[in-house]
Amino acid sequence: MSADTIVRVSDLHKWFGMLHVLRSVSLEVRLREVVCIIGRSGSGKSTLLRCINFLEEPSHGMIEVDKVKVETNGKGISTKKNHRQLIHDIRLQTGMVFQEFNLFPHRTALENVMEGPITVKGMNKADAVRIAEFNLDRVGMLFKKDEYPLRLSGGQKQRVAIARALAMEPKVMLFDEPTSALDPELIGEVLNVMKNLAKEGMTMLVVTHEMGFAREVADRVVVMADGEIIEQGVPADVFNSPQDARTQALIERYHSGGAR
Amino acid sequence: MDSESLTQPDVQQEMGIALVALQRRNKTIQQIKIAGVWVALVAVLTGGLLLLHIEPGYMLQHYNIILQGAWTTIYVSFVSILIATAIALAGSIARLSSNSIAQGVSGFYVSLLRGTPLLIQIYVIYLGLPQIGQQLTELGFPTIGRMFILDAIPAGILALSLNYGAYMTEIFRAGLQSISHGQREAAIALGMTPWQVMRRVILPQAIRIIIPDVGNQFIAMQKDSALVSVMGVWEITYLANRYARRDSKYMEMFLVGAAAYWILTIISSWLQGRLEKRMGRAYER
Amino acid sequence: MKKFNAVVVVVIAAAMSLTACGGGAAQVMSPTQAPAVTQAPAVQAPATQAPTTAPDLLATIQARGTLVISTDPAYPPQSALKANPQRTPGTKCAADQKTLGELEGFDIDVAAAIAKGLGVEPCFVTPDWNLIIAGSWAGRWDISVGSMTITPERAKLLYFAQPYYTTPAALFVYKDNTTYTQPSDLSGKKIGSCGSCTYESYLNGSLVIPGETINFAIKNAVIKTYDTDSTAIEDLSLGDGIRLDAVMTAQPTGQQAIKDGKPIKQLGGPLFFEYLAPAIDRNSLLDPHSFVSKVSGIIAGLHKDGTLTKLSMQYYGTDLTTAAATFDASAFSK
Repeated sequence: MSADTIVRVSDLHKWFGMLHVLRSVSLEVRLREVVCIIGRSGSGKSTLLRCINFLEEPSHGMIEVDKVKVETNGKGISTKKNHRQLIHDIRLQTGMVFQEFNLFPHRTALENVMEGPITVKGMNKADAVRIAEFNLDRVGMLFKKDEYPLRLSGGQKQRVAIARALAMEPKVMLFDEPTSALDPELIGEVLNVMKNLAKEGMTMLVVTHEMGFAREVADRVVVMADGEIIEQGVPADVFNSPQDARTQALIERYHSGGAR
Repeated sequence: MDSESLTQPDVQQEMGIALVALQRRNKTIQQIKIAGVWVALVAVLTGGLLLLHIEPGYMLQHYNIILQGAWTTIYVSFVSILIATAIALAGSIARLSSNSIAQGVSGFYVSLLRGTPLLIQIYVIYLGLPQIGQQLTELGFPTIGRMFILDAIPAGILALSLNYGAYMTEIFRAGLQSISHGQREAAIALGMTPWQVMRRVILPQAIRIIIPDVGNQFIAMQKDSALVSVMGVWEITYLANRYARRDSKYMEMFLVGAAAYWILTIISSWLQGRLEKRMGRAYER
Repeated sequence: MKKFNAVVVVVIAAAMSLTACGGGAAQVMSPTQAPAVTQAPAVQAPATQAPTTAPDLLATIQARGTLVISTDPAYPPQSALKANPQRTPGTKCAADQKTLGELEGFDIDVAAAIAKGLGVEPCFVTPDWNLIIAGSWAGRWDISVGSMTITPERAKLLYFAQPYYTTPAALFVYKDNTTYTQPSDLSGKKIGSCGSCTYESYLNGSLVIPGETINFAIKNAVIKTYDTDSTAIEDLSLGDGIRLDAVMTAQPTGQQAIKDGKPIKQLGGPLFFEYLAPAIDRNSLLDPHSFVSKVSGIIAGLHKDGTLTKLSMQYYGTDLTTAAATFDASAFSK
């Protein structure tokens, strides 16, 4: 384990009822690293991401984000009494971007981005406006700051959602299939924003089907299948000489244009 | 340069303006037609009423008495709907909570209050609570005991609030449940506490869905508030009934009373519409 | 942002009104309740008095300066709203109580005379009849002066003072009817009456009136009960046998309806007399015994000095009080 590790997942298991969707997953992410998680639907990649900020409660295993560590025993109950506070601390260090955007429809774009700083951090309104405008500008959405989400396109919504997560100044950004719900012509604008974030040095963990993006932007590609990490490495290695048969099938489908 | 292509945006704009104007005109015509139907129906209703043996002069002389009762009706139903809303809010959150005591209490409350007639609830609160108060007084708690002896209007407000609170708990529960899970997750991911999620994200959206039903409940309550007349509260129904008996002008006073309720509910519906429009601003394309 | 803050404000306001109302309720009731329960013993009773004795109702009323009377102004000429109700100026009555300026009728005048005898102002409340006869008034009012018939069932819950008049019960049929000539002709017919009252008991043969021997002339009547007699009279007025063949009600009520132009007529003479008396809660928070005997004394005086006869002539055109003067109510006062 290197000194600049920011996210550490160790021996993580998750059951949904009888379904064992994560089988002893371990993963480390270093500061400023961009990690793309690829894999077929149902491979457990989204669940892994959602366990990191406890949107899903792990059944067993250890999650550590920025030196805040939460261990869960086999019964799905944290071993520490103050685990609620620890989970809260972890959520403050992680920004989450959802496939379905999940913008607050009753708030304008600006208000969506201000919501976290005001409600969670107790920031005054003037400072929150400043931070919100800065982050909307960062994703190129300042010109729509007073629009309600209903009047934004899918790509615009997702960019506002990214700004909303950035406004909390997280150490790590988690992207859960951020372009899967978008029309093809809108995907580019969102991927561009993510590329710029990567250039700025943001630590990013991206669950995606966008092989092109993974190949171009990722420092490391993690391949998941059947609830396990079956392969990982720099994009060139994974894409050019996949070791596991399941990875080969995935890459082949990408090359033949079968999967986005 | 092609002159046609230069003018094209203008042509498009003109067409758009013309289309909007046409839509607006059709809408106006439609509204005038509907108003015409209403006028016709009111005429038919008036004609029907003229067939009854009624004395319009008596109605004109006594409508102001009914108006005095209208204030009581408005006061009782307005205060009751506010309290019922607070109860429903707490009740619906309890219904959806994972706490077994909260779930049990709220479920029992809804079942009991929805399952028994309002009139009996009024009698029990008015007659029954003082007897509990008397026991408490005899046990040596006269101050608490006295709080159980409610006068007619507070007893009526309590009964209406509890009864409507039970119905509205279910309305609120459906409203809260209708907000997508993604909204809750987005808020949690930002680091909000469950209470913040409810207050900042779920409730503001749910209220927009709930408002039309609350408006319906308010309209129903204005009429159900007539039941508090059994405790001798001089509201619309009570006064209409007592003057009807005094002068043997039953139809006259009942019609004046009915008209008073109708006007109240028309005003309430109008206010409800305005409120809905206000709440829906974020949802207009 | 603003409108959603407004939403939160509304919700909070609603929540606060819950507590605010609780406080308001306590305030509203304090004018009537507080003196009745707390002040009386503190002010009236000397410190030496045994603490177990319940405070006296009569003393409390006199200390308060008002007599709170329940009446239902739905029964002219006994009790009705005034055509132009005006709250008595300078009244001591609480805000939710009515004053002499708002009500009129025989019962109202008798109640006022009783209050005068006690040296206090009459104040009125108008609860539903069911709430009055149920007893356990919780001190909300002191006495019912509502033409209430003395019955053994009611006497279990209420004390009765000396009756102030009697009501003859009578049958009324449609004015054009010629087939009914005496009460027994109505056996098996549709007869309307008030529900759970003496007339219904008479029609189903269960009526007991202390001091009266009752001849049940009508057998197997089909009884239709009404909230109030006047609705029954309305139904009879629709036509002979359309909804009802006859109505059983108080003779004055029926006669009043005839005067108001209802197409009905009386069938035969009175079937029985009811004794009508003021009622006082047996389950009172305060000791009512001295109050009951004081009221009986006042009514005896009103019989003796001709006040009641005069009022009866004024409202009914006939003296309905004589039998009431000699009735022995002592069994219902203890």
